[in-house]
Amino acid sequence: MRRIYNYTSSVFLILLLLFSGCLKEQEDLFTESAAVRLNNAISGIDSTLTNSPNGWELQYFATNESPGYPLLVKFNSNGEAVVAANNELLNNQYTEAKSLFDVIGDDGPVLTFNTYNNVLHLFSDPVSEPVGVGLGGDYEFIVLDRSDSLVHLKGKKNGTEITLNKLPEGLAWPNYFAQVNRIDNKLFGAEMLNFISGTDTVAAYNGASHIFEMQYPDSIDETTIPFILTSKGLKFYSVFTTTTNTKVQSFYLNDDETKLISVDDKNTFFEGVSVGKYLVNSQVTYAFDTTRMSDNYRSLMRILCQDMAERYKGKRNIDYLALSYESSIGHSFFFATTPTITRANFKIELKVDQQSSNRVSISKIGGVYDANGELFLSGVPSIGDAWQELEGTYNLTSTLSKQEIRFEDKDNASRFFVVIRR
Amino acid sequence: MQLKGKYILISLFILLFVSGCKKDDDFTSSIFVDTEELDPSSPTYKFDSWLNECFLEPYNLSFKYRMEDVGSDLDYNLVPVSLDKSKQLAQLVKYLWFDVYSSMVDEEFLKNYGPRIIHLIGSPAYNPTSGTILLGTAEGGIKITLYNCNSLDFTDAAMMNEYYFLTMHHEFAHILQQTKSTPKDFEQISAGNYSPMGWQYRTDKEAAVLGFVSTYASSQASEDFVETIANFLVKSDSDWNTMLEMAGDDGAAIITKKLSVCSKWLTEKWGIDIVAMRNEIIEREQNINADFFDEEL
Repeated sequence: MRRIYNYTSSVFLILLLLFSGCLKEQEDLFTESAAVRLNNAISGIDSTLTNSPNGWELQYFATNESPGYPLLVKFNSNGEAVVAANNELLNNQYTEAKSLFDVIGDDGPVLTFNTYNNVLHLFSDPVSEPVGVGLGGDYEFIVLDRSDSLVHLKGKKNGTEITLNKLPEGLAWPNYFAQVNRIDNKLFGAEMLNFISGTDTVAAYNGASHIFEMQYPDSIDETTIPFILTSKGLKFYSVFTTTTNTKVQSFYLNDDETKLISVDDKNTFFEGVSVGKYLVNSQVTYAFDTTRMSDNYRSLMRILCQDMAERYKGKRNIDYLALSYESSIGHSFFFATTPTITRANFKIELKVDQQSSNRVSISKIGGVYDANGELFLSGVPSIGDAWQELEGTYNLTSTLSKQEIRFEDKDNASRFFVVIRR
Repeated sequence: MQLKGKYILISLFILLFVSGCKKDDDFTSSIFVDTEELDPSSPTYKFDSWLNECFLEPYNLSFKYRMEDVGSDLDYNLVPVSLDKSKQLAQLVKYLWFDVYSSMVDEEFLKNYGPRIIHLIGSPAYNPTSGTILLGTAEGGIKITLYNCNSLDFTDAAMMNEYYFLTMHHEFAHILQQTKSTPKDFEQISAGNYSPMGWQYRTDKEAAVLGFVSTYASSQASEDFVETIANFLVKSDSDWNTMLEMAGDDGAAIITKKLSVCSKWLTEKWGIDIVAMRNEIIEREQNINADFFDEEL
């Protein structure tokens, strides 16, 4: 009896083992296996990438604390990728580089640039400073989602979010970078912009580095916002919530190029600081553009140049004339000579008009500051004429970057000159 | 009744245990037989075909130049090798390593003991804590990884030896070392002078005076063994003698003794004449110039 019990219980045990896994069948959520779905996804992504005839704009951030770099990428169906850029890592030269790419099944579908690309891998190469790490960028990207014109990627190692936008056909790649460069020059150069959201204003410093340092009024707190330039303006690395609780990310330069307006909220924008205050407070040298000035200034400066050439027999020709600032001198009418290099300053006073912060007055201060100036002035009296002619009150206009400033006599619009930042 | 129950039980056990025992698969000679067929439209079709012909088919070796980070050390920040450097290095590996062994020992040798995978990495592997860089790794006699391949300069023989061929011979010697036991008396020659954690702080001269062919050789006996072989293979007579002079009489005697042990082991265990092999390598190195490379690959 005991043995029968043993056999019977053993049979039950085995049946239990055999059928314990046979629970109710789960209904399949997917009609295909995971492997088939992954292969289909890979095939679909490959097709999407290669189906853009003019390639893609790759909005690249090495890390979420790094400035963004616009790259252009063309994926060819034979597995070759062409990547182009024009940035300081390439000595500001437009550069194209070929390499191989693949879409592989890894942690989901992953786009990988699996041979070295002289443009893309600059962001990941550990040979760059800091040695061993470099700029910390990715070259393998998990494909998060895609459409025919937009692909969202995430760096596999560092998790940085990156976007691919389909490029319009007919846009020449060098022209794209020329446009981005134009935007860069229009926007930055001045030390700060005002970031305005509704009624709040925040100072946005250091835009030229493509990482804004936002300083809030009456606060020592500072927020940094990495961003990337686009052909129309710029885009923050991620959505930013303003002090007025507005969420913004992308901005475009308005038609008169005086504001950078959020595409999400027209009341949130960047604008330049007042040009008059900027000019008076900045320590920048602005050279006269002799091709863009009214005849009264042009003729006097031309005479000045001729007299210098004659007086010094071609050894001290005028290299450029400028409005300058040096801390030990203050503001001055300035020139530099060539081939013998000398510099001379003739002091002026710049004052912001009380009626308008975009208006300044220039007045000549008696005497010259430095010995060079005194010497030149005694030998070439026409310097004094050009110096004197600058006196007046001017309405100023400029771009956000303050790259160039137009001075226009407040009482006589035909008297004007333009200066360009050196 | 009892018997019937017993038979049922036995039958069920047999069913359970035997159900998984199917007929063996028909194995092929290569572990890479499922490699995808090459696409003639691919820009690397010629190169990939050449790799198959020169490495995969004769040696069952997969020469990987496309970065596979799952196959690399994720602790390091690495970038891929460029296609141009891959082509150059593949031709150099064949000519200065595989063809040398093929000409010196029987053709089965590399099939049996050669690595199954060579993986090229473009950048060095920097170790941020020790300040050192990894030149290569050999994993279980199966895979050799070469780093810093984007810096390949075929006009600089010293650089090529330091970064690639020393590494290849070093790592391959590890494979041989891991396959057949090495003489115990080798470990006694410099016992007490190894510094696993501090070797990188020694200068070349300090290492040589202690009887080591390189600073890394002074890290541990197993590295010393393969470094002695690899350095002898890639160093010219002039460089080898310079090192011995730097080592002084005592250091030179130790290095020479180690080389003798290694040489005997290679001859007896593997049938390799290290002096003849070195001469072959040095002679081949004279042929490396711009015309050496097949630009059509």
